[in-house]
Amino acid sequence: MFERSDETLIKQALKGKKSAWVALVKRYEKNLYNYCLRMVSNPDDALDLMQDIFVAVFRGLANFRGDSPFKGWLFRIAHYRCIEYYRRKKPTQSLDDVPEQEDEGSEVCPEHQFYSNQQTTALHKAMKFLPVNQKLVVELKFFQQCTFDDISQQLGISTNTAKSRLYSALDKLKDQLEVSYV
Amino acid sequence: MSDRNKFDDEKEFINWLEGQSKEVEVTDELWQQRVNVASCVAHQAEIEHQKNVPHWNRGAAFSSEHQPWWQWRALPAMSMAFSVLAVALVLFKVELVIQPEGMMLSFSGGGKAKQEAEVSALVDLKLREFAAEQQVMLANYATDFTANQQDSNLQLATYVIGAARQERKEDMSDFISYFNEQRKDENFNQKIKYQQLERKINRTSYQNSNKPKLLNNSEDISYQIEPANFTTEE
Repeated sequence: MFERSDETLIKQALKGKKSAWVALVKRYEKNLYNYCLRMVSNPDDALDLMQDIFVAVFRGLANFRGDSPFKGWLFRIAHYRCIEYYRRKKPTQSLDDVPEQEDEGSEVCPEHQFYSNQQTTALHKAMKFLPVNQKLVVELKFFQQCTFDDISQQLGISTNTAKSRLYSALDKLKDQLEVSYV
Repeated sequence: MSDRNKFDDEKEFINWLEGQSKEVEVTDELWQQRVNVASCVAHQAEIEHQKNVPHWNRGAAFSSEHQPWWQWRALPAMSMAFSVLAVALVLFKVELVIQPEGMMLSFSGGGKAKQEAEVSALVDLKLREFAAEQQVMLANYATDFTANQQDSNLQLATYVIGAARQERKEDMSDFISYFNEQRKDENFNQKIKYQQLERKINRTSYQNSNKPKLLNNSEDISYQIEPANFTTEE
């Protein structure tokens, strides 16, 4: 069976075809959910953030001109929504600061415990100590396989800024990974 | 270590990260550590198993965006507005008249009265034109009728006069013929009488000369010279 392109699904969704929109969501929800999971490190928050991103995507769907691939446009919105999520959660904290770590011992949710024990790798734990801006660069570079030009375009920063954020992130990750292995 | 080496290490590292080179050789320890960490992160990203998405309402964002036109939010308000407009049009007796000269919008029946006056004037004009046309037609008809009548009368009079003249001519001819016949008969009678008289005279003279002998014979001869067709001529 032929798979409909993103552009076709978008046109049909804009004409009011709900099934086209659902198909588009199903195509990218897994990638987006895992992205959110890496960014917020919490399954519930990740699901909320993913739904928030899809709502924002649908609202701006009429403005999508098709100049760039839909996936890039989707993840650009995802980055902005992710940054908004952090700003909403910690309004006084800068995006370049290391986020405050929650006490894992205080987690009482069994699902979260299960996730933390079984799924979380040392890398995920180390990434929690990265500032949001650096975490975004690591996400785009290693999980989305973007080039520095793509990263600079998606985040609206210069290539050198993207590089320096990655270097800083790698230095912090080295420390955290060393601690984890020790 | 010089800045030149650091710059080369960074360039080497960037090329490796961007996939432009498969091997990376850096001299500085800091860059070597970054290479190691980057390799570790890339490896973790490669082997990471993606988690499945929990069930959620995928069409939730879709519901409020597109609605059929009959569910348009402003439709009841627009319907109400048009109803009010329609009532206002009826109450104020608004009329829109489209004519070849242009459109006319009138209120309170003003347009209707004007239109009726225009129609009345137009009807009057048409009636006057029709009356004038009929008068011309009647006049022409009367003229033609008079001329035809005069021609007919003239023809009749000519015929009557001609017939009377012919009749009189024939009567006169008959009369003259009759008169001539009478004259011819009279002449013939006169001739006969003259002949009888002559015979009488001759007989008398003959008798006088031969009186005793020829008296009986002369009487016989007078009887014999009578015209054979005397009765027919009469």
